Amino acid sequence: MRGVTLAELEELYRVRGSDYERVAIALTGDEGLGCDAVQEAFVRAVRGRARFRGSGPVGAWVWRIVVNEAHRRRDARRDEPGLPDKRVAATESDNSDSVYDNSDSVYVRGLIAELPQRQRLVLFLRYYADLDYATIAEVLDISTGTVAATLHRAHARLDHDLQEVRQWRM
Amino acid sequence: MADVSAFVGRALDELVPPRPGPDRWPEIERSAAHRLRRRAAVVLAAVPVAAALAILVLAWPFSSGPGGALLERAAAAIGDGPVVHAVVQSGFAGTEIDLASGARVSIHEENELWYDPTRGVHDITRFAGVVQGDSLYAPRRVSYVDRTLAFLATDYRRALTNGTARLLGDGTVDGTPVYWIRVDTQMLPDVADGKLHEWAHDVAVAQDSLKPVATRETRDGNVSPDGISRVLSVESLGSGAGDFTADPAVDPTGIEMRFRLTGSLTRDQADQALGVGMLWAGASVDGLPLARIAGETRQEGLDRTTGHWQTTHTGITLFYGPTIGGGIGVPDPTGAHLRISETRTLDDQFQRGVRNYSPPEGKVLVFGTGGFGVMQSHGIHVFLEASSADLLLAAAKALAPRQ
Repeated sequence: MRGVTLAELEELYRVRGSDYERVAIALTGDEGLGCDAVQEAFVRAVRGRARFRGSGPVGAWVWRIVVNEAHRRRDARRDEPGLPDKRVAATESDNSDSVYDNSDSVYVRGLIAELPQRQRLVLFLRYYADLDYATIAEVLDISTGTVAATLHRAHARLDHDLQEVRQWRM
Repeated sequence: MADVSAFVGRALDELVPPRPGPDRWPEIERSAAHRLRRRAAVVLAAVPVAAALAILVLAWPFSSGPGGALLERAAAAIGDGPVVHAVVQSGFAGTEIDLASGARVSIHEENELWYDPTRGVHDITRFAGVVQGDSLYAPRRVSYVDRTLAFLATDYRRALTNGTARLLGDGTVDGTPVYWIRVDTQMLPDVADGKLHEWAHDVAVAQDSLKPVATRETRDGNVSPDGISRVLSVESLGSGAGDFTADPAVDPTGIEMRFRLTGSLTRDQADQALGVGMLWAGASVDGLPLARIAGETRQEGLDRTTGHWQTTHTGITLFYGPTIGGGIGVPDPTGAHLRISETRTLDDQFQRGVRNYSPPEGKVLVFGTGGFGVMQSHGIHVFLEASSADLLLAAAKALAPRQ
């Protein structure tokens, strides 16, 4: 058992905090919930830092706590009756070269939401956090081959459907 | 930047735009310090119990007890070579449905893993025998390879040889008579509730060969939600043995691809685009009318100097159900919809769920909750996607050469 220092966790938070938040926001579908999930995950990491077993990188260990916390908060939110569905406020692109209009944005977000949970999670970790396959495998307790295959499927499905949108817009 | 295409990247950026660094660290420290003080008494009270249980388990006289000879034979069955070669069942699976009888069979993805502490890890993923992924990792580049493999390669063998393994008793796994062997027990905290729990790792060995056929993890005596991991085969090999060469052709990363759906074709034009008579499910399926037949072009390997694509595949896609978005329209993902894509050649862009594989004729292979699947008929590969499993199955049954 090697533990992890408070300074290591603080550095991780300062350097990668925005990555953790982007993934947590994407997983919970709510900016507030996502940011709270990251904060709570780091509280748990600080509290349990002496028990970090050192079987992998610290970042992966924290990622696992963040993902679990985001899922827990999303599920708890889902179970609360009467709460409004606060979706992430998307920034509409003002790029005139964009192939999407506003209705496409809704469609694209729908496609991402329709991906199986594991595909979405792998995609978020790969894109928002730029994690390599090995780290994603460690975070999710799956093999690196499964990460590659899962990412390939998510990518192929989205690319396929999104290019379709573009083609029909042209 | 991660290897996502511009399209997907733009969509993801739009979903959650880049953010500034967060600034809640002081709150995190304060909150953690407060809770640590509050929980200290509880944790301290639990530690003696944990230590006592751990000592009890570790001190059990396994190798000299009633199961000692069996454990020694189990150690001999897996061997002590430095290279471990295992095939384990992945959690990803599809269901193959016989269209005539309705009989269903699950097909699991499998991972073949070669592990050598000096050469790294070679991980080959297969579905129905067809390679889906092939990756090679240098030593120490992968701190976590696969829980099952690492567990078998290290903890299991060590426990068998140093006498800390414990024979739990008989059982069956998928009809195979087994002995369950407890490899280790630890009292560890769970970050979710901050409490100590008893975590144990067990291996099931076949009663006839004494080779591992499954592993499981338990928490407080209950099998983890991941259930039992099936080990299809495992062996250890001598130094220098094994396959540590990945096939670069399997990884599509970095290969430029283009997918196009164009036009609105008549059925005769669809036959021409496909090159043979198309499979036809009718003008409507389960009351969902045909909306459009599109021509499909899939290309790979762009030569940027000439502008030519190395490979081009063609096919057709039939859309059933209402469309949205103006123009020719796109299928409404929130409503009833059915999509049938047909091609004579399989490639990475054609279908989801599995690469380069179609089940035998007369069967459809579906994934997830049955919303998409693949099949083949009369030399044509088919990808189906539907808003319900029933609709997909109805389409699969209806597909036949057009008269």
